[in-house]
Amino acid sequence: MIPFAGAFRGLSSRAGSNAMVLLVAVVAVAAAAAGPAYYSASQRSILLDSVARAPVIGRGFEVTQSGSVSGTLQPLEGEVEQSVSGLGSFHAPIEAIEGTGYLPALLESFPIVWRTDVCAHLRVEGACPTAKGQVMASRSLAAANHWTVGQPVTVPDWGTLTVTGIYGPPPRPVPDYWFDRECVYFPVEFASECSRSGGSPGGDALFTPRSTLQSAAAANQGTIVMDFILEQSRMRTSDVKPLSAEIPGLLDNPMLGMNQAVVTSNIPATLAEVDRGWSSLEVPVVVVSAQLLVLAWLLLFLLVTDSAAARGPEVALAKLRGRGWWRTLSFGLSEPATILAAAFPAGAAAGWGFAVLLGRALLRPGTPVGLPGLGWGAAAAATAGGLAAVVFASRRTLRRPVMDQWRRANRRANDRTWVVDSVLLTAAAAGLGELLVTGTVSSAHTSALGLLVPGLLGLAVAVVASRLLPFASRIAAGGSGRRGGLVAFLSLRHIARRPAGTRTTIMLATAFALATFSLGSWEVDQANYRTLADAQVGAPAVATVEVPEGHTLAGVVARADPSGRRATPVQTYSSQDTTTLAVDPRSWVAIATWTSPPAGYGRQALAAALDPPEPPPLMLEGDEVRVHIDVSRLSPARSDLILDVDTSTSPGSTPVDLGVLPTSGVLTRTAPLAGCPCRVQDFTLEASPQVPKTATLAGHVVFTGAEVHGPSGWKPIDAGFTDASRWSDRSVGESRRALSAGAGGLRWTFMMPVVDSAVLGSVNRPARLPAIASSAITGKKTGPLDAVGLNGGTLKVDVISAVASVPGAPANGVVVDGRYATIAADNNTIGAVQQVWFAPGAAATILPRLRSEGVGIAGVQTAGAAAALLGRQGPGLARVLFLAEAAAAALLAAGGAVLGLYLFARRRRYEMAALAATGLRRRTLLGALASEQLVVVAFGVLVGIGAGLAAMALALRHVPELLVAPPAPALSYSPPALAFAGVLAAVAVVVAAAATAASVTLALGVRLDQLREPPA
Amino acid sequence: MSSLAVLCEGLVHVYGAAGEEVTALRGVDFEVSDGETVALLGPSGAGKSTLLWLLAGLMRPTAGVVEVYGRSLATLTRAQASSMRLRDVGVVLQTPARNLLSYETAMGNVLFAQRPTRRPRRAKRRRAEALLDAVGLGAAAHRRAGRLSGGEQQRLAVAVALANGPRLLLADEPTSQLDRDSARAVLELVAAANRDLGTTVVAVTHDPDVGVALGRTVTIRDGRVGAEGRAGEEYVVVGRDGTVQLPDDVLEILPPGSLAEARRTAEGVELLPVDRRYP
Repeated sequence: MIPFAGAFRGLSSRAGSNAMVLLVAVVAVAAAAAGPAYYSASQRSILLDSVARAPVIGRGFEVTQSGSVSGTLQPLEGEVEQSVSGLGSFHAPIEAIEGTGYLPALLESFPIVWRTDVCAHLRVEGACPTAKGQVMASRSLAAANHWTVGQPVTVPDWGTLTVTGIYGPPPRPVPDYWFDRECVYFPVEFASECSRSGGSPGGDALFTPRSTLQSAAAANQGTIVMDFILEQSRMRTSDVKPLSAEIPGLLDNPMLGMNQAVVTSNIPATLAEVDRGWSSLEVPVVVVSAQLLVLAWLLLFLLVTDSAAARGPEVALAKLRGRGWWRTLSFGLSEPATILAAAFPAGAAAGWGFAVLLGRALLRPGTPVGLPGLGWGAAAAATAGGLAAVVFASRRTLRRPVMDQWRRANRRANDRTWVVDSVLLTAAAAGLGELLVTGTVSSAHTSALGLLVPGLLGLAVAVVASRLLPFASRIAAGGSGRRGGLVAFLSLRHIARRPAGTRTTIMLATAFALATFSLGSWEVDQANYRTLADAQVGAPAVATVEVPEGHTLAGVVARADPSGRRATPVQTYSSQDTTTLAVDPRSWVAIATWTSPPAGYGRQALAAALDPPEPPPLMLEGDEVRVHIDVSRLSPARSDLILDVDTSTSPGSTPVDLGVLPTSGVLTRTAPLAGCPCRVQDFTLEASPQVPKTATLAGHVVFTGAEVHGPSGWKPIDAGFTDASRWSDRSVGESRRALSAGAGGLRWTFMMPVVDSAVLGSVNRPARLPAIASSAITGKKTGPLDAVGLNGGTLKVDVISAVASVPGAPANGVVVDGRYATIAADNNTIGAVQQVWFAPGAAATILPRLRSEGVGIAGVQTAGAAAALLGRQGPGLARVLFLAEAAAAALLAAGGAVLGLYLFARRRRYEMAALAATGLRRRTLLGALASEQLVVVAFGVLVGIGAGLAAMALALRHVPELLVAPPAPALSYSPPALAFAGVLAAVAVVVAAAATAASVTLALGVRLDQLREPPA
Repeated sequence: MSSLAVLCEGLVHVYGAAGEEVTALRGVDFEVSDGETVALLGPSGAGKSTLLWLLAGLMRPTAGVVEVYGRSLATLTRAQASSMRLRDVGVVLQTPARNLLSYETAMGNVLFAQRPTRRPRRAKRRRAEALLDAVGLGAAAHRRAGRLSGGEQQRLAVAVALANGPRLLLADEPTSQLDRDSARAVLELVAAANRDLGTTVVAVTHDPDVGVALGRTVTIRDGRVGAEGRAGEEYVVVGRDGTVQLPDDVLEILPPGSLAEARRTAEGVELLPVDRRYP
């Protein structure tokens, strides 16, 4: 039995060194326990992040079946229940029966729908329909049909239905409830959102109770829908495996398939992303934890070696008093064993606490961090490893004969250290070679195993360097002895002969190699995450907004930010290949975050280049327009002249029909204007539909003048008919045309097939909009490019600058002037995403103003949040763990080294007292001690930092830092030099100060009466 | 005749490895009867302490016989040697601090020495209290050993050495680092152990007072037993090979290098100097 009472007294008598051993043991156990705890919590965080980030179809599944609306749901419910019974973690399904109604008066069809608990998700005026035959209609459908609450309406095949309520669409649709069916139910109310996705033609849905549909005629066909969504709060990491196994089977479920039921889900893709995240974390956590655990064991071994040596006289006394082998063993190991026994729960708790801290700082908010069984197992294994290290370290003291202990004979122990060195060096070299030969660390690969490089390299360098220091000191000591420098001589002589110095160098160098690498990689990561987030988001904060009818995005932003420097309007439209950003150049260039500014342009120059001066748009402001035309010849007869204008009230161009032109003659055409002021786009001349398609549209027409009728009567307008540069022939297809202008007006000659139209456009924008584009799509070249316009059509741009990364759309962005882009899109921008980009700190004050303008805020994205999200991916989480544990290990190693040196030096107190007795001054003694310790510590730290820097150069870019590396912007692998050097210097200073303090303590403690004590 | 506590015959001990050998004992013949008190005298490096450590079973002799209470120590395993030290041999070392666990109390140190024995805990404690009283440290039983004075520490060391009632007490320079009063107190303790408990005592010393206090002196010179003193009389010891180490007063007449004639007489042997020197 281990005599714990005696052990406790012994422990307290060596409180300082034992506290350090306890600390190291706790850290070793904590390093082991923290890995699994952190990994487990990270898994949960990654799972919840991935599920939350996934589109609704990626976190749920939908079962649909076509058939009669009156009798299909119940059987489907039964079949689905059987099929999903083992899945768990899903909310109760949201069900819907979707029939179709048709109103002849409107020539429009619309869904008639029952959906679970729908009234809770709509704003209803009147009452929610609860009885068979009751319905509620959307505002648009009710307005189009002049329906009011309480009014009976007749829908063919559905009979008479009573309108009990008028609903407005959900202000912010809850995706988990609507399951992407907004455009099925609200194609009119959500016209702008649905236009891009080709939403259902027809009107908004009539919602009705289930009984209405179930009692409908069997001939009424429709769709039965069951939507299942994952219940995130109940999701556990253990759900992933069964889900991954079961969902593919559900998608191809033969029983459902036989009944024509279709199951749709993208959960497998989400789970695959989760799996990628977990995999990216798995190896690094093991590698990081294992490295630091081994380092902690090594440290423990070194410290216990010193403390066991310090206990040598006690062990000898135990043997002298007749203790047998077992009792001597238990006496000798009682202290470290007691420490380890205490370290196990304390380390497990510390590891768990450490994981909790990391979790709070890094993981998805609210992610619980527990200590799983694996964590306890790892803690137990670390403790067992620690015990092995203790036994190994104590074996010499325990086996040493009493007489050898008293005589302090070394028994040729040092002769065998080369074996340990050789083993370490061979293992390190073999590990490095394996990584290089297998291509793990090569230019073509990234692998988390690269995280092994700093530890292995540090170890290899440390083993070699640790042998060089005593050798160099031996040579230097000879020189110093001849020159008479007593301080240098004493310190160098001790370094030359001390075994502890070699171990200290190995420990410090390895720990600091790890710490340097991890610090560098963390700083690189942070910088890269920030760069990526800045590039992806585009500005410090970006809000996606919905501008109320009758307002423009630019207008509301200008009112919310009169300075024009803190917020800027941006419209974006993405196609498969490019994303067009239509911006206000002057404010945008100032607010956007540039990760790679355009070469050769200052901000103002860039803004000016994007917005070149063009003739002012031809605006019509009045209720009628009148155009004077001289037709020399025109064929075929009865061709129609249309004036296309943009109004602010409706998207796209509005045709103003100027009527049919004769084959010749001077005439004036008048037409009413609605929704003006409006901007003239073009004149279009179209042949009558009755004309054969093989005919030719040809003519010579002169536009001589134009007037607009307003409150003060007819007023002429400057239509630019005397300036050919203000108009351009935009006819498409094969045509011959000519355009000239003079005092007599604008002369337009054209000839083309009648299937084409002759178009004479008002020049109010560059033919090709100047643009900044991502070099990834331009091939780093400037010049013409076809991008996507805000209306989804082709937008011809002239790339004036190709940049590595475009803010907001790094790899495929095309930035153009928003005003010109809107003109180019014929004012049809309803498919574009409306955004407001904010300067730093501006969102907090401007968002409320936008809301007060009636602007809906669909979401706000910040670069900081995006960077945090990148950091929460598996590789980022792994690197932070690496940094935290390596930093702890480095500090521990430094502390351990200083303590080891202190213990070693304390055992020399007798010798120091003897030196003092010879008249050696205390200052000399202190100088020798401090020099010795500083040289040993500084050497280890510097060698470690050097090895860490070498490891960074060798492996940093090969260790994955993102799940998927984006094509742009380019990532940097150079840590911020100043911060990096600063941290390392601070650590070096702290270590040096600790070594000096230990030396001072020792030197001040030297007393002559210590000569009466036995040499330890 | 009393039984033998210690028997050494032709005892040889060589330290070190090949090429660096130092012969510490060169054929020591030596006996100690049970209950006897013996002081081992001799110059530094003569082999006194080596002989003591051999008797304690801390080393194995290179050659010869060494027995403690009839048990040969040459063939003892480490475990058997430990067992012997536990039950039969108490050891007091020269340096007071080296005898004790400095962080333990005086009582704790005595109990520490008794711990491996199978006596009841209460009995151990009673014995420890009695021993501490006997050495005059009853009041300091709960003071840490490291806080005791050098003399107190050495008295405590004697108590610790006697903790398990050894038949043989080995002491290595027990008074060398003590003042006169403390040294006297320690010697009284040793004498009392012998008187009251019948403990055999073998003490290595340079201190003439120790020699006087103990019943017999054995002088070791150059790895051999050179002389013995009994009741104040000094006798030379004839070695196994017939060698005799002359006492100092005789060496004044026959300095090293002198020629002498050894002549057998009716009373014994007569040693006469011859007036001729070695070249």
